[in-house]
Amino acid sequence: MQIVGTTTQLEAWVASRTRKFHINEILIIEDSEHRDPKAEVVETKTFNKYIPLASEQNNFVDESVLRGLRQVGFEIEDEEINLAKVRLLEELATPIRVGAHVRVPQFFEVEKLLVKRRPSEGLTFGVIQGTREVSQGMPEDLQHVALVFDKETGVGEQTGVPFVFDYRSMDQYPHIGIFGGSGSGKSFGLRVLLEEIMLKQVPAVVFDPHFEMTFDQEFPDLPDHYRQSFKKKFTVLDAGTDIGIEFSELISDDIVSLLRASSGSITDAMETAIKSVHKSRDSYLSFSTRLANLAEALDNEQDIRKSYKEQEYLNPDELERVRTLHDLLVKYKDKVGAFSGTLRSVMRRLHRLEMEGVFTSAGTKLVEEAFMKRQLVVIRGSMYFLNVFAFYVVRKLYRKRRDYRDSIQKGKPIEEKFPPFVIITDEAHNFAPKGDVPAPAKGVLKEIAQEGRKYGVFLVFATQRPALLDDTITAQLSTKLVFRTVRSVDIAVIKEETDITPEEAARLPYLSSGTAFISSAITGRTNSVRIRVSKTTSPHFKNPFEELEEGFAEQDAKLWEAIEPSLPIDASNLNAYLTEISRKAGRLLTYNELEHALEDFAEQGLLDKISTPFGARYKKA
Amino acid sequence: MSGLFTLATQLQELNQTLAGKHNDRASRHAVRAGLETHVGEFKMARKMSDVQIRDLFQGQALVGVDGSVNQFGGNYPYTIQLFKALAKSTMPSRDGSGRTSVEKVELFSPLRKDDYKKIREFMEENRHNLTVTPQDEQEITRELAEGQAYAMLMDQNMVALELDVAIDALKQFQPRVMLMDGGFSRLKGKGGEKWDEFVETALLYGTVIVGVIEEVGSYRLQSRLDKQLLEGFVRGHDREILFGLLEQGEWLKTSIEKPIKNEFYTVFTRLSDLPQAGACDFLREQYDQVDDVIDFLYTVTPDKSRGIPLWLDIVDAEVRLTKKQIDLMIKTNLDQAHIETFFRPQRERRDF
Repeated sequence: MQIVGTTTQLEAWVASRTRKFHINEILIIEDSEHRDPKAEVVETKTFNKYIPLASEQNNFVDESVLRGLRQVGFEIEDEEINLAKVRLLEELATPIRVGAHVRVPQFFEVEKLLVKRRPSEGLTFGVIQGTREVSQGMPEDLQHVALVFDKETGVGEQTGVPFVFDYRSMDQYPHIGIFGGSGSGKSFGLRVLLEEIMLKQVPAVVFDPHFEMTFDQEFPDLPDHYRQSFKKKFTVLDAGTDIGIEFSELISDDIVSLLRASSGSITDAMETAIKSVHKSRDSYLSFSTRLANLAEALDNEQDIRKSYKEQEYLNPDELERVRTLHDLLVKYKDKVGAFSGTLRSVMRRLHRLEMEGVFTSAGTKLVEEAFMKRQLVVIRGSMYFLNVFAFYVVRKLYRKRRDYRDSIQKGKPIEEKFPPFVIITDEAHNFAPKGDVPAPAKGVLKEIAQEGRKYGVFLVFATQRPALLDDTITAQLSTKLVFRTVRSVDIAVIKEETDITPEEAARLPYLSSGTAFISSAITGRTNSVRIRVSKTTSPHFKNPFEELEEGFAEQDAKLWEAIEPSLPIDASNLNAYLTEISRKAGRLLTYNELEHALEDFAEQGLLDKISTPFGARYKKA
Repeated sequence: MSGLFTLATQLQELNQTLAGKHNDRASRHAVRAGLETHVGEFKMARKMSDVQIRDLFQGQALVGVDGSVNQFGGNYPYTIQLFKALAKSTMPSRDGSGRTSVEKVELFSPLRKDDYKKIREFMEENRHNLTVTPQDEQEITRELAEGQAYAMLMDQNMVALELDVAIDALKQFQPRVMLMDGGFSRLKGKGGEKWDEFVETALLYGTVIVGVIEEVGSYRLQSRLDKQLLEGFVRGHDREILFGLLEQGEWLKTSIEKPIKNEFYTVFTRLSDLPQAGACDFLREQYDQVDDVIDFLYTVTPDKSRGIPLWLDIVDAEVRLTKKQIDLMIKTNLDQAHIETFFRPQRERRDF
C-alpha cells in the first residue's frame, strides 16, 4: 500500500494491487517527517484499466479475446487496482508525503483511539467497522463482548474492535439521540442501549408506545457465555393503572396543558376559566364540583340572585345552596363570563381523562420504588396517553432529583435520597415536537436537555424524524447514533447536528440495517458501528395474516371434533343435532352455521354427502 | 469568415476529384482476382478454441514489445528526449523473480556534453545520408545538419532500446510468440547488429516474432497489378488498394516465393471490423507457423478495435508516458529557471 497522486495536509489516496480496502478502517502512513500519522478510509474504489466503462473511445473488450489471453497466462482480473481515499485523524501542517508506505496498524497503536473504556466500565454497543484486521491481538477482555447477527448466517463471532460508550462522561456531554427510518435497526439499537443501561444498573424510565420494551424473552441461539437474564432488572408499568396523575399536585397551567394534549386544542375562554377557578391543592372532586356549581349558577343567575335577596323564605338546605352559588357568581362571573358552555366543555374534557384512569392516587410511587432498586422502568400506553403522562412523570421525577441535589449543595437536611436517572423514549418527536406544536412534556424535556446534566438526569431520544424534533433538544444531544435515513430533510438535520462528513452523509440512505454512525463529543470522532446482537428480543407478535390462518384452522378442528361423534347426520333433521354439537364445541351454533360447516367438510373431503329418499345425509369419508 | 468559405470550396473540389476517381475504379472482385493471381491467396482466419491456443503455446508466454519517445522543449538543441521501451509477458519470468516485464528508459539531450559528442560523431559517420552538408564555419548549416543527424540518431536510439528489451525478454521469458509494435523494416534498418542478435536469439528459443503493423504504409502491391486495375486509384498505395478489400478475419497470404519485402515475409490482415487493412511481418524462417499465429492474433483482437491484438494495446498503454507525467517529472527535477531558459517553447505561452 502506498500514497499516490496528489495529497493535501488532510487527505490522500492510497493504492494497492493486492489488498482491498475496507471503509472506515484505520491505516498508518509511514511518513516519518509527520510522525507516521493515522488516517481513516472514507471512500473505496477498485478499477481495472483494461476493463474500462464502454464508451465511444473505449469499447468493451470481447469475452473471447480475454479468454484467448487467459490461455497464455494473462488474467485481466489481476490487473485490478484498489484505491482508498483516506482522511487524517488530525490535520498536518504540510501535505502528506507522496509515495509513503501505508500499513495496517497493530492493535496497540490504535487502542487509545478506538477503545475509550473497557467493556466492564462502559456500554458496549457493537463492533467498529473496518477493524477486523486490527483486532488481531486484542486483549481478552475486549473479545467476545459484541457478537453480531446476520439474517443469513444467524449469530456470529465478533468481527472487530468493540465500540464501548463511555457513559460516565455524560455529565460533560449529556444526552443521546438515535435516528433512523423504519427497518434501519433503530429499535434494535435502542434495545441494545437499554440492555447495557440495565447491566450497569442505571435507573431509567422508558416510555413505550409500541408495547415492545420487555426483556424477559431471550434472543434465540445465543452461545452460553453471551446469555444474560434481565428479569430482575426491569419493571413494566401500565399508564393509568400502575401509575397515575395525582390531581392535587397539578397547578392550573398543568391542567391547561393536559387538556390541550388530550383533546387537541382548547379555547382561550376555557384556559381563562381553568386558571380562574382552579385553586392550588384542589382535588379532582373539589375542582369539578366547583366548576359544576358555577355552571349551574350561571345558568340560573336571576333565580339565584332573587332567592338570595329573599333568604327568609328558604329552608336551611336551600339557603346553603343559594349562598354557595351566589358566592361563586360574585367571585368568578367577571372572570369566566356569563356563558356556562365554556365551563361545561372543560368539565367534559376533564371527565374524559378521569374516566380513562389518568387521575389515580397511584402517582409515581412504583417508579420511585423501582429507581431505588436501580431498575429500568417501562411505562406502556397509547401514544396519546403517554404524552399526557410523560409530562407529569418526568417533571415529578426531575423535581425530586433536583431537590435532592440542591439540598446537598446548599447543605440542607436531606429528606429523601433520589438517584440520577435516564429518560428514554422512542418516537421522541411526539413528546418534543419542533416549532409551535404544543406538547405537554416539551417544556420540562427542554429544561432537562439544557440543565439535566447538572442533576444527573439524561435523555435518550429515538426518532425516525429528527427534522421534526425540537431544535433546542437536538442541539443538546452530545451523542448521536444515526441509522439508515432516506429523507433528505432528515439527512440535512443530521449533517448540521453531527460531525458526519459529506461522504458519510451520502452513505446514509444505503446503510445496512443494524449499522450506525456514532457521532459523539465523547469519542471525538464519528465511528461506523455494527450494532451487536441484543441478548433479548421483543415479545413475538404473530403476523396478523398467519394468525388468521391459524385461528381459523383451530376453529375448524374444534368443530370437526364436535361433529364427528354424531355422524352420520341427516340434513333434513339438523336441528336435532344442534344442542349436542354446540355443547361439544363449547359455543352456541346456529342452524345455518352447522349446515355451512358440513358443506365445508364435504368439500374438504372429510365427509361424503349422499342423497337418500329423505334428503341428503353426511357420512364420514 | 470568407477565408474559411474559400477553404470549404476547395475541399469540396478535392472531394469531387476523389469521387470521380472512385467511380473509375475496377470492381472489388477484379482487384481481388488480380491479387490472387500475382500476390497470394486469401485465407479466412479462425477464432481458436482454448485447447487450440494451449496446444500452440505449450505453456509458453506471449510477449508484447513497444517503445515510446517523448520530447520536451523547443527546437534543437534546446530539447530533451525521454525514451521508454517495454516488453511485457503474459507469464512471469522463468528465473523465479516473478517479474512479468522488462523495462528500459533513457534520457538524451544535446545539452549534455556526451550526448552532443554522439551527435557530432553520428553526423560525421552519416555525412552522405544528410541533405544538408555540415560546414563548421557556417553556423546555420551546421545546426541544421546537426538537427537532422539528431533526429536520425533518436530514431536509432528508440529502435536500439526496443531491441534491447526484446532480447532480454526473449532470454527471460522464452516466449512462444513475441509481438513487436510496427514492421521489421524499421527495426532492421535502424537496429543494425542488434537486429541480427535479436533474430538469432528468437530462432534459438523458437520464438515466433511478429511485427504488427496497424496501418499499411507500403506501396508494393501496385507493381504486381495490371495497369488497368490501378486506374481508379489516386496513388495506388497498399492501404488504398486494400481498403475494404478483405472481409473481417480474412488475410492475404502472400506467396513465399514472390515476397513482398525481400528480407521478410509479410501478410496483409483485417483482424477487426474496421475496413482498413493491417499487415504482419514474419521471419522467412518461421513461414510454416504463420497460419497458426494469424489465427491466434485474430482470436485476441477485439472485434471493435483498431485492429491490433489486445496485448499490444495493453503494452502500448503501459509504455506511454502521459504529458502530465512528463510535466510533473520535469518540473520536480529541473529548476524552474532552467526550464524557462532552455526548454519552454513560446507557443506554450499562448493565451488563447
